[in-house]
Amino acid sequence: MALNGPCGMYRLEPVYNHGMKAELPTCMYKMTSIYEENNGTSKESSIYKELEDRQIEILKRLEQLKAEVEKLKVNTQPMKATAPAATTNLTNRECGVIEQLQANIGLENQVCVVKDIVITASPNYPPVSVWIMRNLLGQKIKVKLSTHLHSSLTNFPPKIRSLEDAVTDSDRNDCQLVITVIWKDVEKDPELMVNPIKQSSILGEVNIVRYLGRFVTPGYDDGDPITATEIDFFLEVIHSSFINGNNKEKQGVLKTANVKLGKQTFLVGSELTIADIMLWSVIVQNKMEHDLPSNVKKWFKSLCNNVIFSNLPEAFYS
Amino acid sequence: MLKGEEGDLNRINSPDDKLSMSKKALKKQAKEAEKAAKKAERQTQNLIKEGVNTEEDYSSGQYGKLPMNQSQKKIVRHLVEVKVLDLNFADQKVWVRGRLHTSRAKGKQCFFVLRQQHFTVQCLVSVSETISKAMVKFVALITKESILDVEGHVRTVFQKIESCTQKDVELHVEQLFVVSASEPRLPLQIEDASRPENEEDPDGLHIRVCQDTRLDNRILDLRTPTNQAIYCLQAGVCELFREALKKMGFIEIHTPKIISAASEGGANVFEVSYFKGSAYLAQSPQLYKQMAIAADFDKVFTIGAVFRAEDSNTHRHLCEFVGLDLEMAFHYHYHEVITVIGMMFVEIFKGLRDRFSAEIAAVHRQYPAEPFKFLEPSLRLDYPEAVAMLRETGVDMGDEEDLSTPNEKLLGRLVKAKYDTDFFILDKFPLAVRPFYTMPDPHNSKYSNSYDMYMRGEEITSGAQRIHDPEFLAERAKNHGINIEHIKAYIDSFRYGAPPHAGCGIGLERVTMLYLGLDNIRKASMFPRDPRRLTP
Repeated sequence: MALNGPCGMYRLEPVYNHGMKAELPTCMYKMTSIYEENNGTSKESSIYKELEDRQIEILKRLEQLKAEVEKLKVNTQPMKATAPAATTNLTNRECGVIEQLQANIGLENQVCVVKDIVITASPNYPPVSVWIMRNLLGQKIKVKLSTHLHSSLTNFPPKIRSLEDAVTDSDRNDCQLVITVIWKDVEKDPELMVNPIKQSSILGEVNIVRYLGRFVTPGYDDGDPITATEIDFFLEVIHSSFINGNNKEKQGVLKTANVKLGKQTFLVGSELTIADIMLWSVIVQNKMEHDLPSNVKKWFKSLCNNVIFSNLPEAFYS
Repeated sequence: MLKGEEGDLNRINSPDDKLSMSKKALKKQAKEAEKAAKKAERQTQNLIKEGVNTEEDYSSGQYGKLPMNQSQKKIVRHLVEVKVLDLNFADQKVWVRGRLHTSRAKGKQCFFVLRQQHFTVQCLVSVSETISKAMVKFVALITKESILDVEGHVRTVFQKIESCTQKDVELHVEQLFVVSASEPRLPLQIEDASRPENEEDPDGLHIRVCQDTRLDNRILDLRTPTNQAIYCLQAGVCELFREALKKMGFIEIHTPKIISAASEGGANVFEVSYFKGSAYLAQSPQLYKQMAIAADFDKVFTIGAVFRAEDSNTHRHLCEFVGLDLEMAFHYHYHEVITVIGMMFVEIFKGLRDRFSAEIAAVHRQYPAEPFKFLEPSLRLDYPEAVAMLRETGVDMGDEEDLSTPNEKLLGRLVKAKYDTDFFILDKFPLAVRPFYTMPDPHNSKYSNSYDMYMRGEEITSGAQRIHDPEFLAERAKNHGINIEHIKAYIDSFRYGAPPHAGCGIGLERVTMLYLGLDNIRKASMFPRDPRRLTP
């Protein structure tokens, strides 16, 4: 009848009345009807039980997560303010990916498949930051950086040639991470191939540094969201106003950085971040290291003393 | 004449004659037909001769068929090559020799295209004060593919001639002689044989010449611009191979092709009679180039025919092909050799890209393909990496399994997608899939110091560090179940001290085919030999 309701049919009185009490004989023992639904109390109790189970489950999961977070917390000491200390702290952090890579080696002693990150870049705009990130990661794991010239390139600046010599000639299978840089006849923005099958890639040096930055755990954006936003903001400024900006805009970026660096040692917060790496990279790429505002100059020099910056191929300076 | 013919036909067809048609009549009919054919032939010949015969022909002496060249006279005449004809020659009078590619007569003028290798130029003969009607007629009747000597004025054209390689000029003919005439009926048309394989073009003609027709009439087929370019490029591969290796201090050696025992296993060898006994055709110069290393030649290469009696009719197998083999003693690690081979390939690819761009473009016009991409230095991946890449896409294969042909192709595509290169080196193959003389990997006995190189996802060469220790070699051979007596000479050649060495063998036809992106190895072999073809 309830089914018929919405159809707009007229109502009928029930033809049979089931409400009448049947008189049951008492000669047999009593049983609860198997057809009738469970009465109120047992039904409710089962629902409560279910709910309680779920709550316990959630609590357990929360405990687990909490333990994991605690574990991570031990590894994640905030970086110190001074430049050399910053690097050591960066390296002291446990790299999640690195751990995984090392675990790989532990598991399959004989067959270790390296992870290969392929970046294509124009020789006219060498992504210096990739070399810095290599040095940064290289302090913890064995990283091989190899460069290749693509056949689409018929003439290239000779300094790119000399980059080959800077590449360590260790075996691929001895390394845990391989970064392959391919010089190719492409636009300004370098490209990182994430998934060759789907041909999905990351465009732009800034984004590649973000990607590589997440190899260091916790990544730059795993911690305080405000710091992460500030880093992101700086990266965007560098991308839009420095890499793709005119001279005036570039000077504007440097001026902003100068103000920031007047108050603190690093661009964002009190530690070395990928924002510093990126700004350093574009200054070197544009050969502006001799023509910097005072605070930026000081910052630049202090970074130059850092191993991860000083240990770069000669060709990048010149 | 025509009337008479008609009368004859009527007579044959009349009912009276039909009744009395006997053997004799049939014979007569045949005779008549023959006569008619002769008549027709004479007619055409007359047409050709007409000019000569008519007294009014003021162009006589300016055209005709030259007598067979027996080197009667030394003619001092500068023949200009078709490929250089351009605006710089405007209004000059030049002599050109070439083949008649196509001709089209239209009343008082006749256009024809003169071809020299794959260069073509448009020529024009039209009736004028110096050129008679008879001469134009003569030109119109010359059979295609005949070789002509043409003198004419180079004239610039107002509209580019798209059908020729020389687009800016045409030749206004003054004199024309047939040097060597072609048969009137060609087994295949050069135009059909050189038509681009463009499936998408709905308006294009879809007349194709099939592979067997091409191979049966190979000399005609080879005249197409594409084939001219393919074999120019193939010569370039050889030249660059020599050039690159010589630069790196290799010397060229020659190894015997008739050998006493099969070099790589007993199967797939051709047996030939050798005086009272029998001998085999070399499957590879493997043994001999290694012996040259043991004899202190340090770095050697050889280019020569290699024979494989494999009864497989695939797109990439031939029974006889040209092997580019090299072998080299190294100092401490076989990667020294891989680096040399990689450098050599890069040199070859760069040379082809820079020196043969016109030829590559010509081939790709008929057989469209992506340009060949490579990296410098060459990309080197390890076998486990390749297996991991394949597994990631869902291929199920074991660690020590060899790559199947489809997997090879897939791997080629994956590497291309990731690194954007058509050429790469795959190192560290499983030992189990390699010949007995391959050096095992020192750190992991499952793998070996061996490598394959791939172009467009197809293997072009395989090589390895060879075992240079006679005792170990004998042990490995035993493991492979090879009778040591049969390879005694091979093992013995390492008994008097041999440097560690590695090398590889490359198939010239495969390199040519894959560099150009052709679909069949027969397109890259001038006179291919396969299980079904021994001629031409």
